[in-house]
Amino acid sequence: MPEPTGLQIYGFLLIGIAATVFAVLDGFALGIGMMLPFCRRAEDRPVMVHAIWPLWEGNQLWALIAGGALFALFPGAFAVLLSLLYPVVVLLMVALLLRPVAFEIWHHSDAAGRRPWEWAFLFTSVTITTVFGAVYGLTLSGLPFTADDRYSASLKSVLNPVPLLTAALFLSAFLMHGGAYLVARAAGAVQATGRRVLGRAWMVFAITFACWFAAVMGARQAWARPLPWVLAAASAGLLLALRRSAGRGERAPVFLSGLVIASVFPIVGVLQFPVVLANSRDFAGSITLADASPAYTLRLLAGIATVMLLIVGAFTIFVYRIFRHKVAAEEHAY
Amino acid sequence: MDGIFLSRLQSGISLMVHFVFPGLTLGMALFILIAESVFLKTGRALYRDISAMTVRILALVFAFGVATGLVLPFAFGTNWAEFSKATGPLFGACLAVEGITAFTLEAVFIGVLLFGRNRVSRRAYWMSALLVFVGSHLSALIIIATNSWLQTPFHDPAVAALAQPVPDAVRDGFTIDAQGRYVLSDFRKVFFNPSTLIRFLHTMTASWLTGATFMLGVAAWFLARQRETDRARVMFRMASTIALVTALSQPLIGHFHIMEVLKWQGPKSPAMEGLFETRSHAPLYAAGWVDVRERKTYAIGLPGGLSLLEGGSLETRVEGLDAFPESEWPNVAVVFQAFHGMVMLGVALAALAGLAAWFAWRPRLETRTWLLRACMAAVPLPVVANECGWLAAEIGRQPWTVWKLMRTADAASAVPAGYVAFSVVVLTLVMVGLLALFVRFVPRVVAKGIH
Repeated sequence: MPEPTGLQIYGFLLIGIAATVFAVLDGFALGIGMMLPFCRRAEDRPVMVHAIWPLWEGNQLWALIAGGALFALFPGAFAVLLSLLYPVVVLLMVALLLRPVAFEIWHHSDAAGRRPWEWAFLFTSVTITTVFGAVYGLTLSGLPFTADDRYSASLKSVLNPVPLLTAALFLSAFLMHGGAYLVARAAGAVQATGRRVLGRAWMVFAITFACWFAAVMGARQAWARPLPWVLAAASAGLLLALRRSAGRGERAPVFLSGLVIASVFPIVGVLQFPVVLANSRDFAGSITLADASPAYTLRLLAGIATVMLLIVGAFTIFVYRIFRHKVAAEEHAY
Repeated sequence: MDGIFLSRLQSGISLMVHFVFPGLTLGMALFILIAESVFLKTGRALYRDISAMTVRILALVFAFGVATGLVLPFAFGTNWAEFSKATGPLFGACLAVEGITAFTLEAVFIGVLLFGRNRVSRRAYWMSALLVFVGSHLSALIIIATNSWLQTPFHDPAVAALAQPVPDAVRDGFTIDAQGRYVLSDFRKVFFNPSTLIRFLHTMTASWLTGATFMLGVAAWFLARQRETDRARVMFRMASTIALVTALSQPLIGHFHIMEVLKWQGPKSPAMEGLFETRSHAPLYAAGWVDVRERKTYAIGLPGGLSLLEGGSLETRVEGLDAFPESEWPNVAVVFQAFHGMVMLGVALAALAGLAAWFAWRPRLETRTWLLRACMAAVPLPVVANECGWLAAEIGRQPWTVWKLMRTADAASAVPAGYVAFSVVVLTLVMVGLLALFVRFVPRVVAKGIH
C-alpha cells in the first residue's frame, strides 16, 4: 500500500469534517422529527416544528457536501457504495424527497391535514438516520465488491453487527441531541418533554455506545491502538457532563450532546485510516486513500472547501444567532 | 426492457420533474430582489407586501425544487456508476463545488428570507434576498457549466468534429489516463467550455420569463376577482415588464445559441431543424413532423430561412443529417418536436407579454377579462417550453453521455435490471405524487393574499 500524500489525507479529513458537522447540526432536527408524532399534546407539536424549521435546510446541506466531496475525491468508493446498496439508496431517496415537502405542506394544512405529515417527519427522520448510520458503519465492516464490481450486495452482507450497531448509535444519538435542542429552544411543557427524551435517550445511547465501541474495535482488531481509546474516553467524559447538566441546564445540554457526537464520529475515521471503503471479500482489495482522485482535483477542492468552510461557518453562526429565541406555538412565518 | 433504457427513463423522469422548479425559483428570486430593493429605497409598504407574497410562493417552489434536486446526484452512483468512476475527478468535482459554494448560500439564507422579516433589520433582510438571488444563480451557472461540459468538452471545433477526438491537457483542460479516469488539469477551461456562457444566458432569460409569467398569472387572478387591485396592478406591471424584456431578448440569445450548437455539436442542430439533406436554400420550419425512415420532414416554414439565419445568405450550404453516420444521430423526431415546441411557446409568450405590458399601463385593467384569463392560462407554458428545450439539448446529445468520449451505453452501472425497474416505479410514483401536491397547493398559497 503506497503512503498516502498530505493532500489525500486532507481530502479524507474534509469529508470527515462535513459528515461530523452534518451529524452535529442536522442530528437534532432529525431527532425532533423522530419524536414529533408521539407528542400527545397537539399544541406542543408546532413548537417542535418551529424550533427546527428555519435551520434544517442549512443542516442537511452538510450531508450533500460530504456526499459531493466523496464523489469528487473518491469516485470509486462513491460508485461502489451507491450501486451495491441500490435498494437502500432508493429508500433514502424517497425520504429525502419527502422531507422538505413535509415541512411545507404541514405549514399550509389545518390540524387534521397536518397529522399524516407529522408521521412523514418520523419516516423521513428515521430512514435518513438509519441509512446514514448503516453506511457509515459499512465503510468500516466493508462491502463485498470485485474489481469490476459486477455484483450486488445481498441484504445479508449488510446485516452484520457493525452497520446495525452504528445505525442504532445514530438513532439514539440524534434522539438525545433533539431532546437537548428542545431544552434550549423551548419553554414549559415542550422543554420538559425535551428533558425527558434527553434523559432516556442518554441511557440508550450510553449502552449502545459501549457495545458499538467493542464491535468496531473488534472488527479492526484495534485494541492496542491508543487514539480510539482517547476519543472514547473524551466521549465518556462529555457524556457524564451532559448527564449532570441535563436536569437544569438551558443551553449547556445541546452544546454537550453536540460535542459527544463530534467526539464519537472521528473514531470511525481513525479506525479506517487509510482505508476509505473496506472490501469484505478481500481486505487487500479495499479502496484506500491511494485511490483518491488525481492531485489537481484534490488541490482544487481542498482550496475551495477550506475557504468555504470558514465562510459557511460564519454564516451558520449568524443565522443560528438570529434563531436562538425560545419558540412559541405561533411563530411569525411566511 | 434492458437496464440502460430503464436507467435513462428514470433519470429522464426525475430530471424533468426537477426542472419544473429551478426556473420558477430563479424567476421569483429576481422578482423578490427587485421588490425588496424598491422597498429598501422608497420604504413603500406596497413593495414589501408584494415581496412577502412572492416569498411565500418561493418557499413552496424551493421546497419541491430541493426535494427533487437533492436525489439527482445519487443517480450518478446508483445508475451511472461507470460514468461516475471515470469522470468523478472532473464532473464530481464540479458538482461538489456547487454544493459547497452556491447551494450553501441559498440553503442558509432562505431561512432568513422565510422567517426573519421581524427578526433582522431591513438592510439585513435585503442582504438575505440578495444572497438567495446570488446563490441560486451561481448554482444554476455551475450546474449549467457542468452539463455544458458533457455537450462541448473540446475547445477546438475541428477536434470536436473528429470521429475519435483525444482531449488535450492544455487545450481542453483535461485528459483521460490509462485506466480511463478523467484527469482534470485546468478547471477554468472545463468550467468555461465553449457552450457554458451562451447556455447560461439562454437558461437564465428563460427562467426569469418563467417566474415573471407565473407572477403575471397570479396578479391577473387577483385583478379578475377585484381583490387587492392596487397591489395586484403594481405586480402586474412588474411582471409584464420583466416578461416582455426577457421574451424579446430570447430570440437573439437563442440565435447565438443555435450558432454554437451548429459549430460544436454535429448532428444536433440538423436534428433540431429536421434537415436531412445538406443543401443551400435550407428552409426554416415552423411546425410539422419528421419521418425518419423516409428521411423526410413534412412541415410548413420559410424557404431559405435557415440558410439565411445560419450563413447570412440564401446560398449558404447548411449541413444536414446526411453529413453524419446514422449511428451518431439522436432521436430526430423527438428532438425536432421538442425544439419547435419550445420556439412556438416562446413566440406565443412574447405576444402575450407585449399585450400585457401594453394594457398594464392603461386604465381599467381589471375589466379586460380576456387578457387576465390568458395570463392565468399562460402560467404553465414557460415550464413546458423549458422542458422542451431541455429535452432537445439532452436527447440531441445522444448517443453520447460525454460528447464523442463516452457513450451512454458505457456509462451505466452493472446493477440488475430488476432493481432499476423497482426504482423507476417507486421514484416515478413519489415524484408524480409530489408534482400533484405542488399543483394542488399553489392556489392555496396564492389565495392567502398579497401581504
